[in-house]
Amino acid sequence: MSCQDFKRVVEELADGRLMDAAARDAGLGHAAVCVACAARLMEARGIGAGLRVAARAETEEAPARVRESLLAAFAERHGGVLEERKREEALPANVVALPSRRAARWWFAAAAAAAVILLSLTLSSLVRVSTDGPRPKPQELSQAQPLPTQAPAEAKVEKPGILVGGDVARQGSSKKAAARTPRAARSFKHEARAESAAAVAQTNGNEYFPLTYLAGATAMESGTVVRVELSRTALISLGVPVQPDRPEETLKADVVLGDDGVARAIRLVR
Amino acid sequence: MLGGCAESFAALYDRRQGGVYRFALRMTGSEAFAEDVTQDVFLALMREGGRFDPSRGSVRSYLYGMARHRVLRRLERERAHVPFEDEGGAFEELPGAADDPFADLAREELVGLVRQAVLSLPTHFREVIVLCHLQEMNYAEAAEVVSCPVGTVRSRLARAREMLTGKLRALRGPSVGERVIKAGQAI
Repeated sequence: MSCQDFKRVVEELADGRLMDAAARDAGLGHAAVCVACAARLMEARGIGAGLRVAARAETEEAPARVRESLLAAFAERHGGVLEERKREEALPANVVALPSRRAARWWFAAAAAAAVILLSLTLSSLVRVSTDGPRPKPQELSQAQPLPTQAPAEAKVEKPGILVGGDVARQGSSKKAAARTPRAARSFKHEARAESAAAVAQTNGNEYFPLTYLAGATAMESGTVVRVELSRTALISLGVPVQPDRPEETLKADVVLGDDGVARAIRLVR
Repeated sequence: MLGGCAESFAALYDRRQGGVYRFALRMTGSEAFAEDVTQDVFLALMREGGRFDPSRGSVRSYLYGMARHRVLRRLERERAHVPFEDEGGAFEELPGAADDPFADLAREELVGLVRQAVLSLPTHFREVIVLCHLQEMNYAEAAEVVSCPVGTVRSRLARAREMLTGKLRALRGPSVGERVIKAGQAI
């Protein structure tokens, strides 16, 4: 064995580690005849022994406060799970554990979200624009007639209390609409969503009154009808003809709201 | 433990905290940092224990690996801010170095000198010395922790011991180094 080869095995020899028996014998044989390598071996044994002493002195541990804080963090993290498990274990087999308060909150939130979605879907289906029959172009609608306070008798009401703007607006352009070609009518289905909200209908003898700030005749694709209670004073200020006596008395009214949230028309509920 | 059993977590902590703490302590020489590392490692185990893959190694190696990662990050940060200390200067304040040169070193002194010498090694060599000698891991376990082949651990260890011998020899003159080595041989 050369001195270079000896350097490769000197630690194993010094520490007495498991190694190839032939290499061990060759190494020890070399150290017996090479003074430098013998000194190297002695030195390695000394370092190895010093490291072993240092290893035996390795007794430090993390302070107790680390343990406490970790266990507290663990309890906080898993506390809910453990409590629920213990509660379930404590119940008889034929009793079903109720969901925890946290779970109940989640269920409540989910149910509320579902209800809101359902409500919005219902409303949107109620106020969707009727697509049957030809309709006037939006340009025609933009040249809208002054807001009628009396709708024609044939004005269509899809559902009680719901204003169908397209049908109402048709009253001013029915002649043009009648002359419209089927193709034009089809194309209109895509473009004629803009309905004049200023056009209002009369339903069951109840008139919709356009709100006074609608002079610009803003277009409305669709809208919703909201039932409200307003004082007589407020109704008068909106242009609804009611008796001015008992000003504090409230009356029910339907308000047509556009998609932009602006009220377009109002009528009394009788 | 991952299912929320506090007793299991406490048992695992009691069994492994010492090794993690001492590894960080020997690597950095700072008790405060070793404490932080220990806490951080077990918090990470709490949060991300699901990532542990038994096919890739033992829990011990996993914990040491996390500790090593944090230690190296800290050492890297310190290297960027603290001027590198002269190698000889690190031993200026060692206890007993200038005392009676003929008296045998006490065991505590020997341990202190070895620890100081280990701390002065470059990080890659220091960690294999700490893992294989002070933590008494075998080569394979150390290789899992430092994520390198066993052969690399072996060669680093040989080089680290050479450097350690040199450090101890340079300890305020060859006589002190000799004494350390002789004291080690005598024990």
